[in-house]
Amino acid sequence: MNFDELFDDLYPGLHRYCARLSADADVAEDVAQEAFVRLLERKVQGEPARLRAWLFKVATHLIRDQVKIRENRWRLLEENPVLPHAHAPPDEVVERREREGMARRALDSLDERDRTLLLMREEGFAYREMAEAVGVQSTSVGTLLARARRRFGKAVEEIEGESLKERIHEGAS
Amino acid sequence: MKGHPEEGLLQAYLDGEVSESEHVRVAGHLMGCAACNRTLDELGGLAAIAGSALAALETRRPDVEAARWRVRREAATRRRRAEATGWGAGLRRRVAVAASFFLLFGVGVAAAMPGSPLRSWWDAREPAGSPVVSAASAPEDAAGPTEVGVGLELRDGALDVAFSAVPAGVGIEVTLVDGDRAAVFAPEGAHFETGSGRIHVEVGTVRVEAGSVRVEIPRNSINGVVRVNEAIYLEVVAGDLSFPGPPPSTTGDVIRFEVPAAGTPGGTDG
Repeated sequence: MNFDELFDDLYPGLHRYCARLSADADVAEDVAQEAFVRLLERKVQGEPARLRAWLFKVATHLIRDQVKIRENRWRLLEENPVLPHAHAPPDEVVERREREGMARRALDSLDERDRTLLLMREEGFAYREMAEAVGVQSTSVGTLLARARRRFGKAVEEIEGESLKERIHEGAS
Repeated sequence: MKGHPEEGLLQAYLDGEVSESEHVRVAGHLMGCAACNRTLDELGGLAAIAGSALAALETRRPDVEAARWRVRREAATRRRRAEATGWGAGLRRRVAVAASFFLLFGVGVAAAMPGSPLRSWWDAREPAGSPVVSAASAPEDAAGPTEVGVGLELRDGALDVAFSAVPAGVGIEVTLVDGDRAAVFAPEGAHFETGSGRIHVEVGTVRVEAGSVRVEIPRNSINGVVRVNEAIYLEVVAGDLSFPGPPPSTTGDVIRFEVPAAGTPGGTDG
C-alpha cells in the first residue's frame, strides 16, 4: 500500500478520533495532518495496522499537549459546532446538537486516559495498542476500560437527567 | 476457575481480548454463575451506551484529498528546511567561509608585496568616488521557494480574496472544499493582509511556480469573490458560481485560471 492509499484509508478515522477527543474541528484537522507529516518525516515503515496504531498514538500525544495549552474546549465547541449536515431541518439540528452536547459533556467529565481508551476502542483498536497509547500494561486495559465505560455511562445518565429536569422546569414556568 | 473472574477479565472476554484458554475458563465459569452473568450483561449494556453516545459526536467529513496535499507539502517544506540547515549544509558553509578567508588572506599578502602585479593594479586604481556596489541577487534556493498561507473562518459565508501584482502566465487554482474555512496559499515572500471575510495577497516579485497560488473556498459560501489584479475571476452570488474573467479549466472541485498578459481581457493592464 503506497502513502496515498494509506492516507485515504486512515485519515478519515484518525480525523474523527481527533475531533472526538479534542472537541475542536480545527485542532482535529491540524493534529491528524501533523501525525501523517511525522510519519513521512520519520519514514516509519510497517504493516498498515501498525502504522495506524502509530498514527493514533502520535495524535493522542499531540492532542494531550494541545489540551494542556488550550483549556477552552467547551467554549470552542459552542463557537464552532461540528455539524455533519449543513442543511438539516432546524428541529433535527437542535436535537442533534443536544445529543452531541450531552455526549461531549459526559466525555469531558472523564480523565484523559479514560477518554482515550473509550475512543480508541470505538475505533476498533486492540487492547495491546490501547495499552501502548496510554502507557499501561495490556492486562490492565480490561479493568480500565470497564471503569471508563461505567463512569461515562453514569455521566451520560446524570446529564440526561439534568436535561430532562430543565425541560420539565421550562415547561412548568 | 477458583472464585469469580475479575471485572477486567470479563470485560476482556466480552471484547474478545482473552486467550483461548482464558476464554474456555471464563465461559466455563459463566455456565454456573448468575452473578458474573449479571456483571457481563451490565458491561455489555455500558458498552452499548458508550457506543451510542459517542456516535452522537458527529464530526464533519474531512476533505481527504486536500488534507493529503497539505501533508505532502508540509513534509516537503520541512525536508527542504532540514536540508538547508542540516549538518551537511553547515559544513558546506564553514568550508566556503574558510576558503574565502584564505583567498582574501592570499590576495592581501600578494598585494602587499612590492613589485607584485596586484600591488601595481592596486596603486593604479581610480581613487575618487565612492565604491560602486552592484546589487547582487539573493542566491536562489535550488529546491524552490516554500509556500505560506492563511486561513479564515467564515462566519456568514461571505469571502473576498484579492490578489495583486500577479505576473502574467501565473496559474491560480481555486478548490471548493467542505467546511467553513477559506484558505489562500502563495509563495513565501508574498504579502498577506486579512480582515473579516477578506484576504488580500500581494504577490509582487516573488518567484511563482505553477500551482503555487491557490485558494480554498468553502463549497457552501453564500457570497464571494476572487479578484486578480483587480479583475473578478470568480464570483459567488447567493450560492451561484460564475466566472466573469478569463475562462477557467475545471477538474472536479478544482478550478484553474491563468493570468493573461496585459492588454488581453482580464489581463494585467496596470
